[in-house]
Amino acid sequence: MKESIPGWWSKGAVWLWAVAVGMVSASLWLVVARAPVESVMGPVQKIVYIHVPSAIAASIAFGLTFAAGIAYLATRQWQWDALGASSAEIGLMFATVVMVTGPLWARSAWNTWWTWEPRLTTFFILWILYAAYLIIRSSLRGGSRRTISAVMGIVFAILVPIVYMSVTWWRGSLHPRNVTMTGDMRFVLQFSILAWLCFYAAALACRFRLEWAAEAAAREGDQAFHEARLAGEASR
Amino acid sequence: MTYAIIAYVSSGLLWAAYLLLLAVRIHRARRGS
Repeated sequence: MKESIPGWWSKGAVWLWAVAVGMVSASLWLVVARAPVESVMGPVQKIVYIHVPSAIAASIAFGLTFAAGIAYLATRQWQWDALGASSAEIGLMFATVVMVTGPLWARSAWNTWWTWEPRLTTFFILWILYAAYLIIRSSLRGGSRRTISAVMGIVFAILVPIVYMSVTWWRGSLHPRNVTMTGDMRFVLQFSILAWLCFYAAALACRFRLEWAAEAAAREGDQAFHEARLAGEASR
Repeated sequence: MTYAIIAYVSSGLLWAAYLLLLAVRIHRARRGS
């Protein structure tokens, strides 16, 4: 088997994972040991330290898919398509964490698992769209797969600022607009955001490796096909 | 408190399952190349 992925990429990914795992572990320790218990909501408020970083990471991931989509349509290089698809998949995972942790917090804070208020509804639509992105992409083959994926990545990302602004634009939102924190609570949240962004970078490097290996396999397959075809024509 | 623990544990399990699946997919793709 021919190694198609350069050694520096693999080594870099290992270091990135080491930093990410270390930082996420430290952030979890800070959540337990240093973050103060909120006076009104109690310990359940500590969900914020995974809910908000995951929402930010998902937004950045979908933003990168948007940028990679534009770059692919401009250059037609497979790396941009691979980056966009990888980021969309990791972003969907972060969005799923938001969808799991949100209702658990809502049950305690609002006495309901789910309500069709603007922020929750728009985020749910965002989650569905990126799930659809991956399903549609997996069902396509050939050159159209990359072009359609790039277009979907660009179009679907329009919803990201709508999700952010939904609490301002529409009335009746239960979701808080901006979380204002001070002291240890603020520090732990900021550290958690940084830690989960490192985790996003490490997961993205890992997912990109899959696209790289798949691309190498496809190229070797094409080459073997052409060689067999040339050998067949020569023997006639 | 229970909801907070469920939130962190379920998120951890979700990521663990995804990363395991990703490792299997990478292994299969590399074996195919």
